[in-house]
Amino acid sequence: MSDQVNGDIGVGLSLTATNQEKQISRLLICDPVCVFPYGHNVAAMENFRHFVGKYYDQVVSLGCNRLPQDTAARYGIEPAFEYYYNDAMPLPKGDLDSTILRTHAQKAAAAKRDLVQLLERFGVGPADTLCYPSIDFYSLLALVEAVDELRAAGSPKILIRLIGVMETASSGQYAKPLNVALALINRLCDAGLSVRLAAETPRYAEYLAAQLDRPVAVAANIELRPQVPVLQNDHVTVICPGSARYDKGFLQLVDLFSQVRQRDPEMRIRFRTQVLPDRDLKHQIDYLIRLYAIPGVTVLPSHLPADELATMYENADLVLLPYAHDVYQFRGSAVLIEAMLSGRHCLALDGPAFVDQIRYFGGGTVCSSIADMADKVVEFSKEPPAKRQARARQARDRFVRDLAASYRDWVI
Amino acid sequence: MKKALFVDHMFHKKTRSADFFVDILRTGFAVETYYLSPEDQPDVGVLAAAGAADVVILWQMDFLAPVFLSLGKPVIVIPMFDGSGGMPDIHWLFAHKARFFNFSLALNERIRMAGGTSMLLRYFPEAVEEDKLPRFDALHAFFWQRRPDHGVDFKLVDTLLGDELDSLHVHNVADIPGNYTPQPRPDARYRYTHSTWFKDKADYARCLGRANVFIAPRVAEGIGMALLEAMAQGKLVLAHGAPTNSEYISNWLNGILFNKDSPGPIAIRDRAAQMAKLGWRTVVEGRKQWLASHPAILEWIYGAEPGPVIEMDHAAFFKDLWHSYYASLDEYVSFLTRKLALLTQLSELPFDRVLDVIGEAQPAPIAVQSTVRDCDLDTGGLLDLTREDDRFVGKGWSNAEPEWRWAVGYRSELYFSGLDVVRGRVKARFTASSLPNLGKAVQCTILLNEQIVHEGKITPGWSDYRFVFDAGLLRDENHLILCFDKATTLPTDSRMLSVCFKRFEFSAA
Repeated sequence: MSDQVNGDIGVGLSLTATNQEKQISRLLICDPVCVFPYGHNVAAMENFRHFVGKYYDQVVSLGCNRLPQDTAARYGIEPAFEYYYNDAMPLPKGDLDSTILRTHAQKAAAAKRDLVQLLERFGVGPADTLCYPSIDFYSLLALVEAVDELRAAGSPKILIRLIGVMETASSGQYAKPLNVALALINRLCDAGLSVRLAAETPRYAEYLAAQLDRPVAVAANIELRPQVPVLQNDHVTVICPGSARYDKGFLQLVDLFSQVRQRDPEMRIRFRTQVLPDRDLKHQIDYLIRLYAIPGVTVLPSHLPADELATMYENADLVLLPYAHDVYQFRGSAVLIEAMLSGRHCLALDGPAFVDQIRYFGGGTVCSSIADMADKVVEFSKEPPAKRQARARQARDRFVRDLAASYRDWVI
Repeated sequence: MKKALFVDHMFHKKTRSADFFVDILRTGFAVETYYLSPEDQPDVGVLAAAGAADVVILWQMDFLAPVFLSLGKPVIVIPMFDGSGGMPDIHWLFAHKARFFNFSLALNERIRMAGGTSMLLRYFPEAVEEDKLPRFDALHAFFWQRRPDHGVDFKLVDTLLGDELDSLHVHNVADIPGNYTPQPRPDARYRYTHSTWFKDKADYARCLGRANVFIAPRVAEGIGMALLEAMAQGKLVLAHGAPTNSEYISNWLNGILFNKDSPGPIAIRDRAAQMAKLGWRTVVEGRKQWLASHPAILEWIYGAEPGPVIEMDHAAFFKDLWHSYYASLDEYVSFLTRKLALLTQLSELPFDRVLDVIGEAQPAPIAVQSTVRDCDLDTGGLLDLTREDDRFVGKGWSNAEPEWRWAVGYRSELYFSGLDVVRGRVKARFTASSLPNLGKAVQCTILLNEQIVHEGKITPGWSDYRFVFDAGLLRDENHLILCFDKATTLPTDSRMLSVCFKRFEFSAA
């Protein structure tokens, strides 16, 4: 059913210019934060294209105009947005770029301008859907500011997914930006537009539903990767994938790994972890050295290509998520979903929202403390691989079925 | 087979300490080794030797990279932490087009963050068979007193282990002239022996072989061969906590790191065998990875590309560089700074990047048109964290309590404006207490507008702490980031707590 544009801008334009008359159902995936060649945003574009795009005749992926051209071409992502978030997630050399948007007012104006241009450029009509895989603050603001233009375009359907990250990135303009984001969503709904809401985690969905007094679907991170067999090794490989950050427990790792090593002096258990991005790592070199010196620990760069990340899961037995419960109180974890799809068990500290998914799907074990996590790493290392494989398969199958159903409910 | 010119320090001709690496090179290259002696005049013959080579490999003599790069040769540089750990950015910039191998993580990160292209290596020697591991019924230590002038001396060893050892052998042959004869205490509980020379290597090995405790003789190492050999033999290793010692030893897991500047007695008897065994196992496992890395080492060298040949008097440049390097660090940096035109040719970096390095460029402040927050300091430069309106508070804080506010997690942020100090220095004082459950102290690092302005420990109980910074760091709106090395939850409180604060006060110094 899906007839994807595949990044050919010329084809996309010719198909879209007359869409108000043709009434072709079309999905426009919008993500102004799709700007780095690594990370989850580009992958999310691709996943949404396949997973949500199947309900539409055509798909157009729209990212930031500062996304490297080769990445944009490879994934068929068309430039459509200025970059509004250099303060939160700086571009390389972004601080030296005089054209980068700095103030709240500049960003708000640019976001509205981008949206209006997008509506005109693609001839958006009532059969179209604007889909935000992880809505950001200035896109929300732009939608509200452009209500008249959206109505004039025939009130296209708007799919908004909140993941608890960029919807509050308001450049420090507001001490309570989530309140503003919620108010903007209410305003959008009250304007009579067809808005369908989803949140990444059940906990966040419940919170938003209560705050907004509107239904909020649950739409977890989309993952399509196949389950990979558990390796039959003499040793057990434990990984901490993804760019390690303070709020992802980087500063807990020395304590955790040391405790495991004391319980496992035979070094059956091995650790592989990515480290902090350079902007933080330069202040933590001594800590990095302590981590590196622990026998059986391999440190990996902060950013790894997607294929190396995939290999990391394939060669792993167990995935650790010692995330901060306050920062992640509503957030999901892409690493958790990747691990579940790959068929790898997770250990997580209690508190984050994604822990509810771990419990529900049986994709991992929840730990009360770092000491408890160390105990559970050792316990896990003694389980037979076949048992691990079966448990992981069950969690994965349940998750995949649930994912398909929840997206269908949100989109249709 | 391609030809590699291996340029090394004359001292290593005697110690053969680079042989293990040259042996790997010989599996992929026809290797010619050329030794250079710092005591001698610069030997321009090395330039002719390089002319016949496909690639030049510099062992330690990293400062020579621009000489061979300017000849249009692919250059591989293998610097050592003990020799080059403190070199400035401009030193690494002149080698920008080279490829690096680093045996030290700290140096690897230093060079990588300075823009270099580096591959991290971790050497491990062959370990003895498990049944040859020493017993730990008694503790017999061996210490070669090589650099007593650096503070790793007999007195230090006696302070650390004097109450634990059954015997101590000191090989008293210092690398520097002077009389450093140990003076054992009359009441020492251990049997003391010493040597000043060995007839041959076997004698030395026999003496070393009788020990099961080894004290690393130098403050810092390039690789740490002696330490690694001792670990490989199953000895308990103690070393000063600096790279590369600290990169192989995880404190009290597979060895012990001490601080030579504040030593105190330590009890090792109960855990010595366990730590030594894990040290040995570290080498066993590390050795496998080291051997597995050999093909990647060759690939890394094959992948090095030549830069453009620079038209100049290479011999004159080589001599000038040589003399300035061995004169002093200041003279060397001054020499490099005078060669910026060459640097831009060699590195192919834009000139503004070169200027960034020379001038230690600061991140450009974001030009906000107006203060986006209402975060003016109160009268007297007071940043009161107990204000209920959260005026100064960013991420990572609890709600204000009547007399304090907790930092939540490992990182907390503050904002302030309105500090009217234009030039000179600014004094800052803050009142804080760490969570007693976190032990004696919490390490706190404070960044102001992305520059570190304070690093220190915060202890339990209210205390005042001070730091000073340059007024030039201030912006219209200022961003303080506070990082902590510890945080924990309490049975009665699920928040991750680390340090609580009352206030910051700022004033002109």
